[in-house]
Amino acid sequence: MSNLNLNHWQISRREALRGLGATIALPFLNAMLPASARAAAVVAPPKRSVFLYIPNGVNTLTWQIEKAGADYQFTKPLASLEKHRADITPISGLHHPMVLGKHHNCEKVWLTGANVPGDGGAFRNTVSADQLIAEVHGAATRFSSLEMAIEGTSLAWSKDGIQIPAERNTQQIFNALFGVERDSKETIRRRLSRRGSILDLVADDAKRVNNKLGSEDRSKLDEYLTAVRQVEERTRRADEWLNVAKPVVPADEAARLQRRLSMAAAGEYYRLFYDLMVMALRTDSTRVITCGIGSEGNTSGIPEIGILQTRHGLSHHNGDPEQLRRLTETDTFLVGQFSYFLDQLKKHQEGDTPLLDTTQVLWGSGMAYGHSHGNANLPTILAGGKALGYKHGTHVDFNLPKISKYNVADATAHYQICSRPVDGDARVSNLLLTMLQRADVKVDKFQDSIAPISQIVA
Amino acid sequence: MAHKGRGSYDLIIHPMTRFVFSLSAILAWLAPTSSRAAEVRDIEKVVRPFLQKHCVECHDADVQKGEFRVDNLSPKVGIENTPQWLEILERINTGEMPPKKVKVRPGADERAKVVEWISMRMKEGESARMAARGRVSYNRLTRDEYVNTVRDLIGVQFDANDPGNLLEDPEWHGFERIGSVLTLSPSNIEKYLGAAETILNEAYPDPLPKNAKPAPPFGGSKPAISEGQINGRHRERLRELGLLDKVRFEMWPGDMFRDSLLKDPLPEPGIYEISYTLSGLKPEKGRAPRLKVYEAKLDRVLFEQDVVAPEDKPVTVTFRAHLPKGRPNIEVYNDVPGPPNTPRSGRHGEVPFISTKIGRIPWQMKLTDEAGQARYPFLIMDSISWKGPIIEDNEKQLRDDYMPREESNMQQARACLATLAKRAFRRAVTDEEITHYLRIVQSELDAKETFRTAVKAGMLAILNSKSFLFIAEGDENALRQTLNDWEIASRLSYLLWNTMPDAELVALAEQGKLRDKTVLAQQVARLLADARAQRFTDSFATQWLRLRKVGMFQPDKKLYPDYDKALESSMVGETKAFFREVLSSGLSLREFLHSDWSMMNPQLAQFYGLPEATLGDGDEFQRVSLPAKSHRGGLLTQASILSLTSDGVRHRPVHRGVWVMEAIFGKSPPPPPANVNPIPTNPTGPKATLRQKLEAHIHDANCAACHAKIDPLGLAFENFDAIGRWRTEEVTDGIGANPKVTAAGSLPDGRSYQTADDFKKLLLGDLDAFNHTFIEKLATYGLRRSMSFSDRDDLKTIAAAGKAKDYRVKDIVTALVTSDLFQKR
Repeated sequence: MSNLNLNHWQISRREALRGLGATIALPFLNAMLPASARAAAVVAPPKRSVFLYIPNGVNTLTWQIEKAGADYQFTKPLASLEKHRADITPISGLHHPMVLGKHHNCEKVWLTGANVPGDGGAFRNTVSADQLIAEVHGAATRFSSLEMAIEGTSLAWSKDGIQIPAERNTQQIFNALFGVERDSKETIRRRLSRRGSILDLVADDAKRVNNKLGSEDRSKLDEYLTAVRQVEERTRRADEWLNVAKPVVPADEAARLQRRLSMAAAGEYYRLFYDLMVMALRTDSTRVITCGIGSEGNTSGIPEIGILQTRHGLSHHNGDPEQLRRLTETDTFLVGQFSYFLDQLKKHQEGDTPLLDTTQVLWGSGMAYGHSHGNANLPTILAGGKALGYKHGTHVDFNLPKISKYNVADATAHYQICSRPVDGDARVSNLLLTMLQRADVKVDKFQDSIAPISQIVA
Repeated sequence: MAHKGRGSYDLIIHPMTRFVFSLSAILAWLAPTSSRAAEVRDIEKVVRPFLQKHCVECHDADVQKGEFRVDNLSPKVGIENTPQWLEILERINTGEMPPKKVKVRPGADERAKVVEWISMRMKEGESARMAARGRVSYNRLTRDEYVNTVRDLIGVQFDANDPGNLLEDPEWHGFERIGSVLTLSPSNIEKYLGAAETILNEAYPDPLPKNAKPAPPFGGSKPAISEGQINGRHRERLRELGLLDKVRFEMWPGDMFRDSLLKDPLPEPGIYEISYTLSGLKPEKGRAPRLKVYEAKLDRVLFEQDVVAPEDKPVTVTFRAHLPKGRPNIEVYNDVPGPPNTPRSGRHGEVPFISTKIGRIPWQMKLTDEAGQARYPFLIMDSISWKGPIIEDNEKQLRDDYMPREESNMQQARACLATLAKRAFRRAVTDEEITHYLRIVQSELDAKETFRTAVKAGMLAILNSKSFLFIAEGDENALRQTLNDWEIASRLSYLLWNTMPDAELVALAEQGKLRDKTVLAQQVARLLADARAQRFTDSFATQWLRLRKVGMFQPDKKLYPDYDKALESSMVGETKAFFREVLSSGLSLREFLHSDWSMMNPQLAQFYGLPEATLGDGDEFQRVSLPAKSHRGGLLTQASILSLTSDGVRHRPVHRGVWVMEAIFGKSPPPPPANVNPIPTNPTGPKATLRQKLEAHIHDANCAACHAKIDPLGLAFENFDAIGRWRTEEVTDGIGANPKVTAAGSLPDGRSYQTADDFKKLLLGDLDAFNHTFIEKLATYGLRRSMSFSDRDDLKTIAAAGKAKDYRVKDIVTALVTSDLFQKR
């Protein structure tokens, strides 16, 4: 059955690719897919998920959308999203209960919601939502998930609470996705098989010792064994995918994606990352992407809009009007880049379906009012994924039912809303749970979630 | 924005403007609690009455409001019922509990006392958990340790920091080698596999096919500008003038030179020796030009150095770099700020450069002033030469040790793998273990691989096994509290050299002599006398003092235009060199707190406004005596420390206070309470200093209690800005004169400090607390775990030994290594 290729999305996808002409070579034929991927590929149209993190919160005074429902007005920093109104849902009032007031580690728990120590000391994280999705969709693609960061660190955490490192080097990302191997297939296969037997051996060696240790003594060795086993699995998978040629990106696009850029031209640099993400999705190289857009401590300034301070510096504005203006400017800039990403996802179609419709995108921060480390009412935008069953077009607001109206002119009052949750049940975990369920992860609860967010589900 | 009154809290708001704290009171708060017995007393005296009075009414067996009971909790706070105690801590800390509606609410000082006490216990509990060890402790090699170990094991340099190579390691309070924090993800294993493949392929390249012609030897020289690059018209003119071989390449500030490569690509990966012959002109009142050699593909600086040499007496600077095979992408910069390379100034015209004496085109800016002095820092490049790959004899020997001499000789393969495994695992290995590795060799042979490749596969397995990647301590078969000789050898070697034990330590371990403290003391002296001890001084100073934070917040370019990477590395360089000097010259801990000398290079001296004359032209650090009014001396007023406690825009007095508390007194303040009211913005006038703003902020009694202890330790440094420059007024936004800063604070017993210098002298008065901290940091670093209660007596013994030697740092290191603690797991 698997060779019949009657699956609707695949046919239209194939046509779409043909329709693109020479732009993208057909990544693979179904018959060539590894068995594990074949099984997954036939079941359903792709459901894709992208998570984008911005550090240090926003200027909440200029950010806040004041009206809930469909006829809301975009505020100035969000204006570039007007054209995507039908495809997005800004959400106000969400928070992570266990990290309130703790400024460290915001980016580490954004997708996990785990408890963190207040002093920034060591802690063990829990699994991030993207990785639960990758468990379901990862088998169908060459990369079960893609972790990248423009600046800062990875958002993805394994089931053991270990951070999955992010790649920050765009050329490394391109090479992993599309780079042509220098060695022959046979050489690679030999290398993979050698790696396989070596991993086997070192795992056996560790197991022999592990068996002699009490369960409390074993954590480090267990970690090693788990890692080795997972690499064995990855090696096996790489071997399976050896028969499937990597997608060929046309020369002009490849050249564009391989440019050496830096934060000196921040906009171009951001768009390079977004373009790489779009290309990874277009070629179905992966269906789960996380990308840290900046680091909490050290996100560079943006020279092209005349702002040289770090975002962290700006977020500690101390009410200074000029600093606040600049913070709004960088907010506007970051949203503009996000809007570009949505443009690209819309532009590229699989058959009649824009990539955006099969891709749920979460954009947001783990901080709201950075100056005083207020992390309630987190800036959050959900976009795309209509084919996953979303209903967009409204501003979903969990504050208004209790406060009835915003008054950003009273800065202190608004900062209070951004520091202490108005509605204790309005949790980021509810949104992550919704996203998990939209992506067919069979769960009823994620971290401290209460229920999925019904307002956004069609 | 006025502080909104919160009932009774208003009564106890501290008048923060009056800094009435005694240093001895702070020290008392910082001092370790004596014993668990005292704590049980404390819980009865401090916590229990509080809970009885304010909590039990709603949270006992009968009522259990919020399904929470406080009457049945274990008194072992920090060890048992931790989630519950944390909950109590946070609720009291935020003022949420007891709730507002109750009649009798505790005062802030009463709450602070309880919060502080619980919080201290929590920290101790955390330390105890971090220090917990089973039968075997596995401490993963850090990235640096991996590189050094591989170098000493196989004689191959591995560039772990290049893109795609090893991952960054997580840290804990600055320490990068804490076993329990160094986690291992599948990506780590993949990177280790890739690393070992790269290393072994460099050590054992595939032999050339039988009939292939060997490549011609690599190396040679080339001029910076070759004849072919010179415009034809000028070439003929210069040939007639006999100047064609005198053409040089002049580099303005920021200029780049791309043409460093010879005709042939690098034949193999390996270490290459590269030389540049050049002049460097330094303007009289400016910085020296700086040669920076950068590999763009690898994003790695291969070499950088200030170069000062007269135009007619060029010098040759030589360095070694490990590079992959092929054509590196080398960019050479004159890395110093200066006017831009616009056509009017720097841009190279068609006229080849011969000398500054020969006039430039009229519309170009002049290179020299009337007296012939350079107006800006210039480099003038003559030629480049290459040599390599260089394999030292000892490296060759190491590689030969592990590769059988005879093709297909499995006996030799066994012996070779056994040699490698013993060194790699830093212990004796069994025949059985080697048999496993031989099996890989056999399976590779069965897969029709060459003998050489098959043996390499065996080595690959060794380099990826747990026994290589982890430094193991303990015995899987029985609980053992002390280290064996092999483990001591590793602990000592990784402490002082950041690498595996050398032949002498291995020999001593095999003879069972390393538990002898006389032998250990001799070994400390031997290891510290070796150049590799700089790995210890650099690495320990970096971790203890958090030097990696320098530059983490990029200083604002508008506010600090002089700040660049070269200055940043000079700042860090001073602190590392200072530590090295204290250790190697037999100086005491006092120098860290205050000294009348420091380590300077010309750039840093210029930055501090100190005389440069004696420092020469290089950028190496030399010991200098500080003038009386230098405002420097000791660690606390070094630019590196003052920068790392700032945020790139402003200095941060609170961060500075926390830093002093952690680095000097070894205590972390409790975390800021969650859920305090948001800090209102800009409560003071526009031209207020940060100190004034801070004092206006700390109106919340929840915050004040702790800040009272932190802030005085940081406010002493108000005379230093965010990159550590001396100042008397603070640059603030807005119109009008900048406000004067005040670094004064006073102690209730009448002693007061007016300046940072005064403050440092006060710190000198309590050397024992610092001695204790320093030893705890050293032990944490050396033992790869945090110190806990059970280590307390051992630490005291070491502290006493250090004190008996007048706190000399070298003696403290020796005291640690020869202590009982050092031989314990």
